Amino acid sequence: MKRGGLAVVTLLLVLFLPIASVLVAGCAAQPTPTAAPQPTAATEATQAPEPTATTAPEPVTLQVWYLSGSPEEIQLLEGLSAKFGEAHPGVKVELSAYGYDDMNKTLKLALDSGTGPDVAYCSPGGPFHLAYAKAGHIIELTDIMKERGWDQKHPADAIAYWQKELGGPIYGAPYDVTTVGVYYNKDLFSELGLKPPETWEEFEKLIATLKEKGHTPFAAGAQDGWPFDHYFMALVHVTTPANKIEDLNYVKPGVKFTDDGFVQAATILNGWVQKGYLNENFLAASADDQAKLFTNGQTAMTIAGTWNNFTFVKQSSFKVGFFALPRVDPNIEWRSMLTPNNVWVVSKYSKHQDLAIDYVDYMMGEDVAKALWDSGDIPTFKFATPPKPTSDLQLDVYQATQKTGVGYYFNVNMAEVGDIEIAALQKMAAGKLTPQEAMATIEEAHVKKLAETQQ
Amino acid sequence: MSAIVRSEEVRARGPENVSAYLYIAPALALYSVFFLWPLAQLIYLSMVRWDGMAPKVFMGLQNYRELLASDPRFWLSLQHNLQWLVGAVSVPTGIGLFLAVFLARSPLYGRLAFRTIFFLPQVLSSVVVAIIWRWIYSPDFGALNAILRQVGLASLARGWLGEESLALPALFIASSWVLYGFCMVVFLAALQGIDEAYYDAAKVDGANALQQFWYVTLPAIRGPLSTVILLSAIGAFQVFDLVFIITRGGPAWATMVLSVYMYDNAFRYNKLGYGSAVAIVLGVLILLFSIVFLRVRERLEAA
Amino acid sequence: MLAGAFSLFVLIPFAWVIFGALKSRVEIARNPLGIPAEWHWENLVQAWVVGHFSRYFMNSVYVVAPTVLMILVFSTLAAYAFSLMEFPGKTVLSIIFLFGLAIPLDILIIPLFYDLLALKLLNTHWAVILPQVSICLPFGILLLRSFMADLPGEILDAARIDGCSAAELLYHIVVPLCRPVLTSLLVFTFMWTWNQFLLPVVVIQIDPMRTLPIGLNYFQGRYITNLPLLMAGATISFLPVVAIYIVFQRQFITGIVAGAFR
Repeated sequence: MKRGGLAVVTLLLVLFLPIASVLVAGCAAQPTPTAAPQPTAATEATQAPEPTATTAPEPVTLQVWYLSGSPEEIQLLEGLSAKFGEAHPGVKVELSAYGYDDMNKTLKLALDSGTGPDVAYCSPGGPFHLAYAKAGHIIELTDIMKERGWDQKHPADAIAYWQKELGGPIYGAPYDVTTVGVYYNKDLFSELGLKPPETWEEFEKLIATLKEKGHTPFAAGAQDGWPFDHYFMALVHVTTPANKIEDLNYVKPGVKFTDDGFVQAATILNGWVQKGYLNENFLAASADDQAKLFTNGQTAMTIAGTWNNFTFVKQSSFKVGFFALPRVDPNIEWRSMLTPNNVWVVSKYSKHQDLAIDYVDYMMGEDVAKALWDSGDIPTFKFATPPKPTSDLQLDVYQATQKTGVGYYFNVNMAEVGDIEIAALQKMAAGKLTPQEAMATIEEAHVKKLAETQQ
Repeated sequence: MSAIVRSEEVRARGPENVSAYLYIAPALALYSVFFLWPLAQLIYLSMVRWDGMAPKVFMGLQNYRELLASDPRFWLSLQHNLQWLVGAVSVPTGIGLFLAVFLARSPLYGRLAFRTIFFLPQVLSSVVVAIIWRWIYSPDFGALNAILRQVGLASLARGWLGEESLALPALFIASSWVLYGFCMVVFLAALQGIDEAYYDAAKVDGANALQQFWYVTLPAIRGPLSTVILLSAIGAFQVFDLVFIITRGGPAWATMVLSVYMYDNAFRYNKLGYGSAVAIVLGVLILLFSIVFLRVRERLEAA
Repeated sequence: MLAGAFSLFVLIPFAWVIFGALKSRVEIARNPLGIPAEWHWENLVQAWVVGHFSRYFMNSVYVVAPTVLMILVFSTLAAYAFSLMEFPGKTVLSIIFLFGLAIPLDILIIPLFYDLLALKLLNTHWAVILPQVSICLPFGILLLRSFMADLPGEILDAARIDGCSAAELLYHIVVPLCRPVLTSLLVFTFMWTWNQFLLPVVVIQIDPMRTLPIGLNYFQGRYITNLPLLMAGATISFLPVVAIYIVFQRQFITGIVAGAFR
């Protein structure tokens, strides 16, 4: 029986060696994604010539993936895409919306496999669109940008922001900016005779007053992690010099989480938690809960990103205002987490690259910028004459973007450190770590990450 | 001449063996390509450092060393899987058995109705289960706290999925909501196979309810009981869906389990080699557990 | 009494979800537990249309049908050889197949992804079907071979004496006798494959190919801010399965039970 067993194994190896070698070849070679055929099922995509006025064009479907959590924003984009379709006979745009986690995971896997959309509005930066560029999945936009004049219509440094480390080439083009700051209930403020603070002391007094009068100052969705992290990061921007944050963002040595600015930000946040300034059970609330608590008027303020403008403008039954966090340290430059939002990229595997570029060009154009503006967003487009704000909220946000300098989501380039940061903050908020200990925990992971990147 | 033999007549004949291999061939082919080969690759991958794009760097057992010696999150995840074994398997199995014993004595019609109802969660996909329970536990807008507040127990209302000590037990309840039905149905069927005569004999010997359970009921359902435990235990080791969708391993790793940790390392931190090492360790754990369990079962059955 | 209380524990979440699906956004925040004041049936319609659920449902069908078929056929063939034939290497092969029982598919997802990429099968139904079949085969083979080995010898001997070939024996005698176990296998495989999550999540990235659980997850990520719509989506996802279950519950439960008795 033993010899028979050996015979069988040999037989197996001989039989399946050809299959195995195919797989080995496939795996040893880097996943070289070839232009895989467009997926079957729903798309009617066929090879279409550039639609000209004279020929009747074949029907083409352009696949666009859009990163947004706001139903209002998605609706707006669907409308704009339909308009693009109308201007290009025979073209239909199929827009798929994705949340942050879903987009990053799905787009990466799709591009790795040579499939995916023609155009994506995706997360920017090192682990995202720059990684896709490095892997050869998306086309370089530098020359296209110059041809189509995007660098005239938009501030050059806004376009360059998310690819600074490349020192010139552009792979993704943003079309709006966002920041993180304080949304507040204007009606409640006027009722209590409060106004947006100019200094940090005023801010602290304001929060205390709200609490005294029986209102919950802040809403946070710490269960999802990142909303609470945004509180921390926003505070860091008003306690720490900008150059330090920038170095941290680009994973340069010389900055430590245990430095004063970071510890101070953590201490402030911890103080808020201890004094009950956050919604009860904030550790179990989701990002969505956070938004709902604010728009329902259950908290007076919330520190959140201005991508919420689309939603807050429509969903609140009261007047909503916005102000940037005042500086804790008056000697530093006034910064907030002001950055271009996400970026438009074009897939190398698109069968309709010219059309895809036209679509992005349309998105970078004035019509779209006007539509974004009208729905409360802050586009990067340089209007000849500044349009009138469509709401007080938008005016507030716009002023905040003018008053503060650029900021950073400084753990974006260090995914694992980001998770550890969130976990440390959650533990701190639960009373298990002091602010110093929390920062030390993050710094431990940071040091490891620095060591890795030096190799 | 037929290739079919009965096990008492062992005849290894040359030409007829080909037909045996032919019968196995389709299964073996698929199994080799989509299971055995990836398994071999996984073992290799666990010994490299790879981010999915740059060339792979061979590292020997470095990943394992790091994993076992200096990764507290790994041990924490393992701990949670073991706790899952207790909280989401043993307890519901026990309760399911208890319920089945009660129900076995009741009239047939009620039993069928209950059986149908109890089994219902089993047919749901984990996504639906996750959506339901995530909403139930939502602190401000969910069902659980709403009930507590309505019955005047508002002080008990809390952030279930946000507290480190409560999040994992909360997941146990969600998971066992699905498991009870399975246990109950299997045990009921097994219990119905027990002859009343055994119970009568035991009563005559003066056995009380508990003794009847121990000496009559348990031995009779040993087979199905151990199968249910084994399947659920393997499930406890590989649990992924509920954790991934409801808590993502949070808050602060309080619900992190090995499969999600593997996923994070491979697909979020781009540490594919390290993630593969986690996968191998998980596979080995399950394998060991199954072997030990089956051995123990054999011993007990022989007794 | 006790069973009644427990039934409530099982059923109430279903009721909440169905009621929630029919409420307005305002009402579900105010009144999460009760019966809807106004019945917004249009939520269900909207979820169906906006959520592409017909597409996801069909994809699940396209995946589950071949999977179940292949598992039933291939397991039967292999189990037949294992239980009723002798050949060199039988023990070795048995052990090789047993690995599949102990090792879950989930841990192989990393190399599987890159293999499917190399084979150009990503984003096709085969990317889900083939690995799923492979991982279920050991279970099917084990289930069937122990059943087949216990078949009464007289029937088999009688057929052999009548001059039955191995294939004829399988088709005309063994398979019909295996009906209960085959039903069991069918039920198990159907449920496992229908509810598979990790595999399709990794190997399918485009919306037209998503299966129902993945589609629902994507839907959940997109509409998390619209609770009634989300509940409507969940309701649409589970109603067909629940309906099938209630109609075929005897087969379901018998199948599960038979499987557990091995």
